[in-house]
Amino acid sequence: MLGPLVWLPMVGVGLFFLPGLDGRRLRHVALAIAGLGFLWSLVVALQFNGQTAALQFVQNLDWLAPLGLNYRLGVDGLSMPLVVMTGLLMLVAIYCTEPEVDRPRLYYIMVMLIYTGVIGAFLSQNLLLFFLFYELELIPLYLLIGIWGGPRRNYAATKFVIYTALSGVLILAAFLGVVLLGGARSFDYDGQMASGLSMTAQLVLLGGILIGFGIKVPLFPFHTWLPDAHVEASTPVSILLAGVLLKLGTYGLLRFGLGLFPEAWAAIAPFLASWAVVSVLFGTFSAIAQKDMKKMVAYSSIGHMGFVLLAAAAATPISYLGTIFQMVAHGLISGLLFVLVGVVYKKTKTRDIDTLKGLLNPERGLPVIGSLMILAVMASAGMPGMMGFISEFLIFRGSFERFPIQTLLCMVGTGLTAVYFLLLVNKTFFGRLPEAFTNLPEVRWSERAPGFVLAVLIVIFGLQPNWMARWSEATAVDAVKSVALVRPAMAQLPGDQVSVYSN
Amino acid sequence: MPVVLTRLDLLPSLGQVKPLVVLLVVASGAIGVAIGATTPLTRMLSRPLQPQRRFMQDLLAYDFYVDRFYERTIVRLVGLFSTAVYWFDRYVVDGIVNGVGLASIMGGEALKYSISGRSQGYMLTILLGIGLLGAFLSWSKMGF
Repeated sequence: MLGPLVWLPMVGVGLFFLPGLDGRRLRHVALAIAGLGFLWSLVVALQFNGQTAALQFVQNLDWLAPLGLNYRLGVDGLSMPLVVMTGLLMLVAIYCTEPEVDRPRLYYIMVMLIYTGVIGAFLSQNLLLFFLFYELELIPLYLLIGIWGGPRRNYAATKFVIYTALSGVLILAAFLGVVLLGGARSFDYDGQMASGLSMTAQLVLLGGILIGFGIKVPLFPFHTWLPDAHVEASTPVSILLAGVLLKLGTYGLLRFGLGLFPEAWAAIAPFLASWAVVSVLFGTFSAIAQKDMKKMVAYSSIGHMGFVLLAAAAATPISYLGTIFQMVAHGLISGLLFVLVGVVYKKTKTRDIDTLKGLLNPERGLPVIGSLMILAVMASAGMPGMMGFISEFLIFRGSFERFPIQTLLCMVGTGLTAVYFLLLVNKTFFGRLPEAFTNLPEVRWSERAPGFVLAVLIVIFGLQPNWMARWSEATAVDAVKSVALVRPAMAQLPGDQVSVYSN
Repeated sequence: MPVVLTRLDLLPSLGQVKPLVVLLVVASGAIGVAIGATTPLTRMLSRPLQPQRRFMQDLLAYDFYVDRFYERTIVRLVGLFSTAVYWFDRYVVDGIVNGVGLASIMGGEALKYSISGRSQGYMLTILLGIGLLGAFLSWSKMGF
């Protein structure tokens, strides 16, 4: 069941070498592969049983048994929504690729490698296998930024690869430490594999995991690669970066940080919550100061990913469910924002907030793109009725009981999100359209389509959150059980036992 | 929205609603409507000549100058703070990262001059490296 999700893109790579395929046809082939992958992920999701926290559709094959490396795949309520979202955003990213892209064969091969790497990482139930998939997306993304990026692409790509390589080293070291110090016979994932370690060893290994995945999330102060990468990357790569690749970081924190080291996690949870506050406020204030639309969205990602750390630190069933919602919500919303910024840039040739004005003009501007942008920023600012509201609400509700001060400070961050996004909309879309932008090229419906699809999903899941919650509720309750057990008896809160969401 | 709030079990039950609070809110609104509907809009009231009344009228007309106060305090403060945070990010956080990168390049450049071709130099480097590693390992063992 899960094998095709991982390997379909690799099979598709073979099709790119068929003779007679020009850039346009290669794009169609890539779209067909991504479409099939997305449909398959929906088939898996429909058969997924959300009532249990156990791994489902497990595949277990011996591979390099002496090394402890087995091909072990499985899906649970944490990875299921991320797999479906990855399938959708891959489809959107390929759809948003220019048909006349340079070196199309290499480009689509790189995209497919990322597809396999990300899905494989989400489904891996063996630490080494996860690491292999995690590293698989490093070089393709480096090339996607370095070859198809903007003027400072070499700097941005090199910075990205150094940071991510460092992240990989730390994660591998932590995984090796867990297995070698814990005395496990293989790298197969088991929530108990670090339970026999001393608290000092757990804290050291958890430190490696936190910094390793903190780079990928990214969390302050390991974030400086992200704004550069976003600014230099093309629109489809930005969609992949924000929508899919950052989620590997948050997924890793939950699966391997909270999952493997519940005791150490509970011990440093107040520090993690405070770190989340710094990350949220730093990202948010930096976003306010931006003049480049893309850089503003990039800094907003740093802020929004900080919410995930806050909720993970709180580790209550509601906050854990909030982290899953936030990952998917951020994937869809940031994907939408980058799609729209890409269209604005394509039509106006600038992303400068001080230069753009009046783009909501109904006759000569970009009224539909502007309307979608308003919806996207409302969703990002957590307006009710949209997915961003549900995720942030769950996070704050689940975290407040454990870290009230930190939660309130993060809520200030949400308020400030509205500030910078309203500044963005106010400056670029309202007012009188300058003479320079009165003859903008027409926006075709095909260019609007990805934005519409993402906007509809953001609203649908905002109004019907339990369609997603039913996948993850049991996992959320189960995942924080071990943390709740190790907390001091006085620190036990009613939220540790409550039913999470649906009745 | 009401559906979402109901699903999240956030709407208070009718038993939790305090009649006195409801009465006060509704009454204050009703009194305002009544005053507005019955007060004739005379020329003097529309723009009084006395400075005190004029000041009072402006104070009410401009919402106690909350907007201007907000603009000159909160908005300016947030703007300044965000600029400072971004400066810190660009020149301090990113500066350290770029500095480490530059130091690595310069270190590599400097090291190439250490290639002398003399084997005793290489031996000394290896011995120093092993010594440092041994010292670190024994220190960390004691630490744990």
